[in-house]
Amino acid sequence: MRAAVRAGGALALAAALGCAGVHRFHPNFYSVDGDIRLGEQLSKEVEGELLLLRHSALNQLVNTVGRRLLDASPEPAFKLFPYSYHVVDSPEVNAFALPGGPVYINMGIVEVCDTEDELASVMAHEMSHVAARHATEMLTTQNLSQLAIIAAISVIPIPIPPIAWEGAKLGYVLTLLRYSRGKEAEADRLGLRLMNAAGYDPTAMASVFRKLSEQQRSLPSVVERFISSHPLSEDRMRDAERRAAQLERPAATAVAAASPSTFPQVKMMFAKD
Amino acid sequence: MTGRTALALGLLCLAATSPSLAEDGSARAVVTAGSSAMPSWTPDGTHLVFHSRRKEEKQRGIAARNIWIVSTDGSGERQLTKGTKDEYHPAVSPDGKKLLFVSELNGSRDIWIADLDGQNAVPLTDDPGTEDQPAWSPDGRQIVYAAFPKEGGSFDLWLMYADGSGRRRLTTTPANEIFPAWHPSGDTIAYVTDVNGNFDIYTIDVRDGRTAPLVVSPDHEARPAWSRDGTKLAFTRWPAHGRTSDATPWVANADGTAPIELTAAPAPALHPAWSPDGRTLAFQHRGEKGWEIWTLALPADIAAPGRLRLAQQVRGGADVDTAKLRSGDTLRGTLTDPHLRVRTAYGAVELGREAVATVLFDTGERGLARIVLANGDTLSGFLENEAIHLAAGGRTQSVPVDAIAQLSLRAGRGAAPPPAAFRALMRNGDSLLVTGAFAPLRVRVGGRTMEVSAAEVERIDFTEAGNKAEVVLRSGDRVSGEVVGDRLPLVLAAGPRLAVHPSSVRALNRTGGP
Repeated sequence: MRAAVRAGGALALAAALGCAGVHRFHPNFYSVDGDIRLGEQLSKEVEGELLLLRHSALNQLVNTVGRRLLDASPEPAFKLFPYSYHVVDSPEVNAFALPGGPVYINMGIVEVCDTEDELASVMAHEMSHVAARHATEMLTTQNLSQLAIIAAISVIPIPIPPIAWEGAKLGYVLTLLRYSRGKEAEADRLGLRLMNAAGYDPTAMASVFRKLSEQQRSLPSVVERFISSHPLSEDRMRDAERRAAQLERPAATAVAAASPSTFPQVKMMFAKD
Repeated sequence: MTGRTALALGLLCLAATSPSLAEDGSARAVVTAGSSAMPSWTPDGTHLVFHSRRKEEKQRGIAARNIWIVSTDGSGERQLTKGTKDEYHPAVSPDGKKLLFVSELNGSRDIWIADLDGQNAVPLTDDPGTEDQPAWSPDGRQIVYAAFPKEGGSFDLWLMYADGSGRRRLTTTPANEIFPAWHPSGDTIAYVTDVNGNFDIYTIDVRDGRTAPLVVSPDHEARPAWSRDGTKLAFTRWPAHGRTSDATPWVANADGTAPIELTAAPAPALHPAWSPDGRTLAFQHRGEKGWEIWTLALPADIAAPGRLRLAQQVRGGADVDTAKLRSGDTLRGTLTDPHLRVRTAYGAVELGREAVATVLFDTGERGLARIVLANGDTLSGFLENEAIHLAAGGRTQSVPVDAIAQLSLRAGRGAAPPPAAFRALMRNGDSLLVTGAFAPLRVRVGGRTMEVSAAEVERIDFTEAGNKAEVVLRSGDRVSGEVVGDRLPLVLAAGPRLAVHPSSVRALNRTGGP
């Protein structure tokens, strides 16, 4: 009875906060437009510290993969956001998404991927954080004061802990985007469904996890930040494999055409090895 | 257990027990520490310069790639640059004194130059755009590289002098031009382009900018490298819809003809680089832990000066016997079958293993094969062997012929074959070298029967029915008449003896002495 009362209270709170997204019962003080505005603001901050590769074939590749994922999305929440895809010329193995849609993929993680399906798994995971509105949920429930700090970064020279070698603002934003295991698991689940609906091989996600786990052993510093924001437990890898095996594959005719720029070619153009 | 399952398990066992290719003396690992790639030879051929990323080199939070040098026997490895950001794609100058490489120290990919010991490093380009993949001109005065601006676009080829001055754009297409390699003549640069969608290799004339296709196929060809004498090109190829993990090294003539796959190199094998003496290719191979630097001792017939020939092409340049299966897998080992039996349109032929270079099952009809012999003969017919047997790692595996797409055999080491005197052009299109030891041809002319010995014959043309022949003698005389008998004994230069019906032969043309 007491549990039922607690559940009822949570429902009432969620309703009062008016959350929108792919999951329910989680408070979020932001509107969808608020997510988008915050993402726009943060993207200006972080892009000052990132070296974006504006190469035609590379951008065509990530845009084509992103569009293919989005077009096939089974969840309406994915279509609430204006996604944009950016490739960062950094050897660090990482990818992150800002609230509202900007997705950043480091060349370091492109290097780890061997197929377009594996790249799609990384992008689908990050897009799922956006659609599930994980960033603003965290800001709502964890520490509202962080919000004020982010807003102030660009105008007030307040001291910020030297978190990252790329730069203080980017490092701070990335620290804020460290999600709980529950949110990572949700992004995995949503990402797997998104990949599968788009005709990508959902087993590619576990395959990327295994490679990152291997890299953690051989070159730990290169994947350090990714692992810190996307912990790779054996359970998580097994879960991705199990869920991929359970998904029903879409009919071939429902799947969009493959990207015009093939993944191996684009990868080879920028290969450092 | 079904037959197919048994076959799959058998093949798996063979693959699992195959000895390392390094053990056969043709390909071996030089550097396996960290992740090491993009080898470049010093001009004296004693060392390889490459870049490597090491676990222990954790610098300000990230292990950066840096430039290293090693003796070609793998000893004396030494780090040349100690950049805190990635430094890679080294290229040693033709005089061996300077080192070009790409560095990200200033925030983006720039071309840098240093002394060969890594000292006195300075940037040659310092744009916020991307400059990558530098290569020297043969005189060491200029540098070609691939670049695109920060604002966006595609890769173009650019030139500059070795001091960074006089930058000029060599290509201006919306396609990507990458991986330039300057021909030793100094006149042309080979490069990779996606102008046709996939990657192909083209050349551009440095003087007038004219481009020409060099190696074009539905597959991807990338990372070209010229031999020091400029007569041959090495490159990497992988299937049109495949992965770069399937990439293998190839060599071809400088005009792109006679491409040969070097199957002794383990896949993936990328970024081939010729040793100055042309006998060895360095390349990078993806090992279990990361990229490794390997060398491949080229088969003597490929390393030899001069043009590559068809027999080398069909052999695959390998020093092992290779069965490419219809499943896409490749098995390597030693063929233990002493003979291959072929039923041709003109009779059964038993070919010694030493005589055969390649068997191709590409007609789609079960068992029907095209066979290329080591001496260049071509035959077509049904292979009567139901299976071939490959030995590797101390065991022998039976491989059903139905499962094979192509069988490539290493060069035979048997006794030299007898000299050929004639080429027999068979009615079914086969082309066979035969000795002068065929029995005298008996021809009835005007009621008389003449015997024409092989030593007298320059050429014989047979009619389609096989009952008439026109003989041109070495003396210049001509004899036309009815062929007597229904069997013409022939001795193939490759060994087998045949007794064919004259109607099976279109012509016998002299190629050598008696």
